[in-house]
Amino acid sequence: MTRRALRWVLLALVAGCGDAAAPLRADHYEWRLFEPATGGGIDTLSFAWPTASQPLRIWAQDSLGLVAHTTAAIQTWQAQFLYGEFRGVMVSDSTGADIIVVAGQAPAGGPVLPSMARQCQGATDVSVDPLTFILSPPMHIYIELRFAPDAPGVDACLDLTTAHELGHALGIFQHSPDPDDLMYADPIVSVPSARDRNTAERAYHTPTTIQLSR
Amino acid sequence: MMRPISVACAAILSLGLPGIAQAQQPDLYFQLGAVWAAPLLHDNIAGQVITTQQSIAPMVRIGAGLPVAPKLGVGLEATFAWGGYSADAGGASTDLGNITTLSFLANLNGPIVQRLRWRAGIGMIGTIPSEDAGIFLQGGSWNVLFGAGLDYAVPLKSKLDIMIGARADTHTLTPGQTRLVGFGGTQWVPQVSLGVGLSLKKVASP
Repeated sequence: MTRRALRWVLLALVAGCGDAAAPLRADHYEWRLFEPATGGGIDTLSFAWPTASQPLRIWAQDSLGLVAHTTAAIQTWQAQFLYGEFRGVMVSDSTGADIIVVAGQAPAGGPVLPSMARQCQGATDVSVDPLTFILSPPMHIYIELRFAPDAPGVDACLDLTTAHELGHALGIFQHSPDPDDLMYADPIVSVPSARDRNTAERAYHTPTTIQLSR
Repeated sequence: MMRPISVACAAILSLGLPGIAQAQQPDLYFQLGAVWAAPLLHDNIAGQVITTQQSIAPMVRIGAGLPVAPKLGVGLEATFAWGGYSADAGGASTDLGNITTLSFLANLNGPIVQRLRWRAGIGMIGTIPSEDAGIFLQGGSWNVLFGAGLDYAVPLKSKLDIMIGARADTHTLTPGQTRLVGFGGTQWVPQVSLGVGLSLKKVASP
């Protein structure tokens, strides 16, 4: 009996060395910026917040319930990453924040990524120096209502729009062509899809061309 | 969580009852040491290989054994280890917090030579992260553990030995979140540990 037990245990030890198979993550959409390059051609610009910047410090204006919506958005995006690529904390002082979320309209003329849900809309500035490809934080996210604050669906709209804009601030600089994705231009869904997750993971494991200034 | 513990208890009792019938006082031992675990997960995102790895962790092991035959004993040991884990990718390492493991191994054991004993068994191991995040977004898990090892005793007093123990074990670890994001198959996590401690025997050393 002893020898049989030993044989089973040794067999288990020898056999018990396999690895799980990693997913392919083939289903994703383009997240990088394409800018005209000097002398013709196109520059592909990608950005991800570096590990040294984590956790990102995020400040939200105490208006339209943005503090709660931003907190929820942080949790939503954190849950998409397996290896701590993004972690965010809310800060009470906007000084030194990496991302600032405010109520209102984005300034005219700036390079923004807009989104338009039914009851509200948002925009994220992506202020990258076109010559040096250096991004200077903080990034600004603008959220504004399209109807009265007590209109039906406003709260849910603010939730998904804040999460959508935070996705831009994290480095997804394009919109998904699929309405089932949170990063669709006029977002309908409130949580990232598998495609959103695959895209975010790729953004954080692809060499970046946009550097962060500190 | 209750079901694996119940299974472990049943296994322990089935191994231990014959021994209890023969002898009421078990040998007792404890060890302090360290445990090394193989990577928890390998991933590849956009061509970048990511390895999730536990640090070498301090360990406390306590155990009890009963002889059931001249050259066979049954035993139960519990091992507690606590250490960090990280994700390593492209030369950079991201600290992911801490992992506590608690394992129970119901085992058979016997002498190889006078001071050297083998030990082999089956049990359960709980892997509990400090934070439900990342691959452990849905929390830790309990899994079946297969283990084997050697114990070497150096007599210290008539009923007290210094005990050096080495173990090799393996268990599955496939957190719920990894399945959710599309990992397939089963991840096995082999571990190796080394400990030093004391063994209190009911029968004095010859």
